[in-house]
Amino acid sequence: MRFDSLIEKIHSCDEKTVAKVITQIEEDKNFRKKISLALKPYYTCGISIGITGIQSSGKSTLINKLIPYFLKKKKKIGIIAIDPTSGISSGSILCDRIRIGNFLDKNLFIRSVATRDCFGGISSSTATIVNILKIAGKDIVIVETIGAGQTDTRIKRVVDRVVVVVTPDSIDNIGILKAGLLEIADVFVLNKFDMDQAKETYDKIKNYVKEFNFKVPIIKTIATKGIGIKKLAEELINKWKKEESS
Amino acid sequence: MKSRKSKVIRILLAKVGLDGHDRGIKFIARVLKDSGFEVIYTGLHKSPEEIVRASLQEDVDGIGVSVLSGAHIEIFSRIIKLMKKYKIEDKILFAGGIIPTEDIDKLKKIGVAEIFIPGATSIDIIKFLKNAI
Repeated sequence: MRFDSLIEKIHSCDEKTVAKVITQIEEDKNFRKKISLALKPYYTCGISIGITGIQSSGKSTLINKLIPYFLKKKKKIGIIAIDPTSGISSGSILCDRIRIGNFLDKNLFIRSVATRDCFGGISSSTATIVNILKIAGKDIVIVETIGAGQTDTRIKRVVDRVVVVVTPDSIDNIGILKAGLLEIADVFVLNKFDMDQAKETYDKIKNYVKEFNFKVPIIKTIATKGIGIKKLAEELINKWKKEESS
Repeated sequence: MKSRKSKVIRILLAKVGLDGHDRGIKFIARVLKDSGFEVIYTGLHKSPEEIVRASLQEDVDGIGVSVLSGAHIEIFSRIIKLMKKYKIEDKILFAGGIIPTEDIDKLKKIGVAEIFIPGATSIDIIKFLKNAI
């Protein structure tokens, strides 16, 4: 039971330990398996939210606006921001922190993660890192995927709820029917609602949701101006409350 | 793709304060990426404390700070103080920017591992990081 003292330290949210453990999870597959098993008996009440969407749809900006809202509600937040690893050099540039400001709040823990050798929009260590942050007492763990393509749906398997961010210029009548990213949404966000075609796109998504009796809310946002953020945040928290009481 | 047997080196690159000249640091970010490093770039206008706390959470091996504003002595003294406070003084701190040669020794004395001034090549930086880490 050599993990006991380590888990104890994670539980008290000793940031240095949490950071080191995440590094080891990324580096060492065996360690990842062992610690995942060791973490199983621990109960956590945090929720995890995945935010996905195509490149430059506004995922980081949305997260940046959601953070202050959740912090004000006295929630502890963990962010896992994923960016792609180069297929050529196996290096990467992780720059989600640029848009996610405010690094100093004691209730906020941000970790940038590279996909390394994993396909599907996240890294193979993501699920374990989500658990680690929940054990560290985070009420909300937000996972930001890479700019996702149609098959990058792996996020669905590691978080409780998936927010799919779309923009007015990224949806067409046939594209919307295809398998892939749009299917995994628990919440749709139509960001950049101040763009042309925004209204038409909204109707398209609404029809799509209605036709398939797909009970998914569609939230209009303009992330850069903070419009619609409150509604999104409440949607995410309320669903959680409902589930807790049921 | 190369197989990943050895540990991936993670480097945080940052700019401090009102200094907005980020062309150099973005270039370095790309070069390091192309050499197989994981680079965490935090963008402009960060405070020393933000950089140090980010380095702690990201568990990086090295911290590179670019300063072109002339306030390098103050900035690096503060960063080193904070690295001690957060108990991450084992990480390699390196500097880049327009830093007068007479200040280089001063910076090294307070704990900056290496200083890259105009004329330094990207190969110098990569070599230094691979040796130091």
